[in-house]
Amino acid sequence: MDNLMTNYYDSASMILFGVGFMTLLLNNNLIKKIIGMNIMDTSIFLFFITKGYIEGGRAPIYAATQSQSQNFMNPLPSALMLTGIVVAVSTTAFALALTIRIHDAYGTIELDKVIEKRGLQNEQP
Amino acid sequence: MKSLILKEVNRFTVIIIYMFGLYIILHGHLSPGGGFAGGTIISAGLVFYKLVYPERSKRIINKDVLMKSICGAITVYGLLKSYHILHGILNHTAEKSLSQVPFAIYSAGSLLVLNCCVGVIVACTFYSVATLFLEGDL
Amino acid sequence: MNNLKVFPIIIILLLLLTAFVMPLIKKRKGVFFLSLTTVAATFLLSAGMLRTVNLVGSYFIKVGPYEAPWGIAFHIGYIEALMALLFTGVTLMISWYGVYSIHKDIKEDHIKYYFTLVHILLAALLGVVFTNDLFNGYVFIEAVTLSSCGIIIIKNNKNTSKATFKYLIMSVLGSGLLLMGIAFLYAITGQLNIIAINNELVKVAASKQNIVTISLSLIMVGLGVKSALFPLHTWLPDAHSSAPTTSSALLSSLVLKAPIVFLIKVIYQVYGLEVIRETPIFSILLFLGVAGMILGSVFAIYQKEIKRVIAYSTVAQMGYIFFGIGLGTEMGLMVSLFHVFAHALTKAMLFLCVGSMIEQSGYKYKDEFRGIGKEMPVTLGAFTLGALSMVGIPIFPGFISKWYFSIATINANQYIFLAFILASSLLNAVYYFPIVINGYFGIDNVKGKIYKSKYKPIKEVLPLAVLAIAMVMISGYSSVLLEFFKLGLNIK
Repeated sequence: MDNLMTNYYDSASMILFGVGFMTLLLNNNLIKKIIGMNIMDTSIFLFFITKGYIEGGRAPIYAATQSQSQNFMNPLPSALMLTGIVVAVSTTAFALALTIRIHDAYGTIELDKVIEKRGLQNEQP
Repeated sequence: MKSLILKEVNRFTVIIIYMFGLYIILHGHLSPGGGFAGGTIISAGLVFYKLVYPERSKRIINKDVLMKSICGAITVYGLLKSYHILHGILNHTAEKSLSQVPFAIYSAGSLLVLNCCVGVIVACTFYSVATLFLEGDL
Repeated sequence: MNNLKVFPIIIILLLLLTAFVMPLIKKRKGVFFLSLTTVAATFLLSAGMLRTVNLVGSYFIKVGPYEAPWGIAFHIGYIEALMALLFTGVTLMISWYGVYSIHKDIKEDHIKYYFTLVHILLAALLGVVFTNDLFNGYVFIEAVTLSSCGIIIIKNNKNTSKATFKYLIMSVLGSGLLLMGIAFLYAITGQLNIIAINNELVKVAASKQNIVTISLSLIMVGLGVKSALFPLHTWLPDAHSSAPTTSSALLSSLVLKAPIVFLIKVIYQVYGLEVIRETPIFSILLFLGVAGMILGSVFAIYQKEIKRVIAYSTVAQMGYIFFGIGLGTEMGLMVSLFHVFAHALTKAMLFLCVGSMIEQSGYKYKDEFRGIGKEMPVTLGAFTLGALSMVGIPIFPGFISKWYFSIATINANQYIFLAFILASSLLNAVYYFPIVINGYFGIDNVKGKIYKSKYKPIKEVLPLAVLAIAMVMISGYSSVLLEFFKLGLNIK
């Protein structure tokens, strides 16, 4: 329990991951699934970026008016997670466009009603 | 949209939005931002313009212009990056940039051109996604 | 020799550059010509890559001017060169078939976007196989997911919309779990390069046993969703049966295989077999693989559409591969890689045959294909060869892989699973042989139906013949391939 309170970044990111995962799995509405996907991805980015924290460091950017040798934090996880954020945004855009297609084809965006309509058309498992 | 407030605000602020986005793109190697963030801001400005003048923007920025700018920018990005990757593998050293003055715009070699290409791609992509959602077709 | 080592980078860059030139080309024949010449060029380059690995041994390339822990490195050994040869060869055959038949499935002005997506898919698959960096592997796997969703939804009807959404949501679940596993590995070792992680993990693994188990199980489930591990396969039948023909062939033969190659690299080269044997993960994989083998075939017997039959057969064959990984020995991994090869060629050929039968006759359900052998003998002949390979008749690669799976099972002292391998072969015969026998010898009840001409010209059947010949050649060269895979697994 002590460990959970000292590393509160990791505990918060795990709780957010669980919330996002459950939202993705258990909701019927397609938009809520996409929101859950975003929460899950954001929590992983939070977990990764906080691994780059060094005590007493400042943001790893050189500015013209200050001296060059200071304590910087690790810039590598932040740079990697930029790529991850772009991937998450592209997937969200694609999923939203797919939701519009499903609405045009079936007339609803609740997943259980879509499965009902598909089940009525198909006569096989 | 036919609101008068929107039209008047558009006259004054859409230019400032474009300039701000361009500033973030051009200083991508010196401060946080770069191609992605700057491209998003420029696309927000384009969507704002489209909301106020829908026919004019459909005539100026149609599907042909969007397709050609996205494909052209990706091809330029691809060729420049291929040159750098192959040069780096075959010669084992990093390349020197054009000018060695720190904190100036020209100080990071080809990062400037790459950031501009990424900005064009992101702006055109987000604008076309917003057009698809608003009107159903490009 | 340094100039010959850059072939992998040239392959990926060539595919990506020509992918984005294609939306600007207006004529259909220009798109076909560009795509076929590019994929043929990448096939020749990957043959050159194999020759370089034969001469020099495995090597590392750095992508860009920065060395390994600060930049990205590619590792090229026997596994990567052979997988590149397989992926580009199968894509070449599928694109060649697609030139003659893609306009029957999708609209005329979407054809150039289809080939753009195929190029991006192939580049991303090769990137997953080549890479030596975990986060780079994650980014390429996401590119594979998005472009494979694209090639399903490009045929726009009700079935594909729902199938693609299911596939996308489950894939994103898998990617999230995979990234969490990579984040845990980064938390205890501080590196992302595979060699560097292995060096650090050896020092740290004894004290942090829990994190090793957690990260490995997250990566396993994440990659298992993408390659149809047994209970996580539910997206597969809808997606593979409602897609256009060439997309189904590409998905079943190639897109399921790249995460497996990545998983084998992670298991063998990041963790090492001794570290994993202390955790219960191999037994779980063994059990789920066997369940997939049996239950995949059992579900296939009850399907009525012919494409869904073959999609469930894919689930069963992926069960074989996970069974091989779960045995936990080096020979098990070698045989799994050989089965990847065999299954890719066979399943591509099966899907192309079934696709041509469906589009020439217009039927969809497997009971309506009686007597089709009289009209399309060559196509049904290729289907027969594929079915014989799936069941496990000698001289076909299916027999070779089942034989070596049995030897690996005996070597690992798990004798009870031999019965399951035999049972699965018999179950495969139960649903493949009726299609073949009804096709050749069934009475065609067409009184009152309108005939379409079912004969396909020779130049459209040639890709199927090339795939069949390649299949038989693989089983001839099987011992050479297994030796190459064994050399390729050790990189120290």
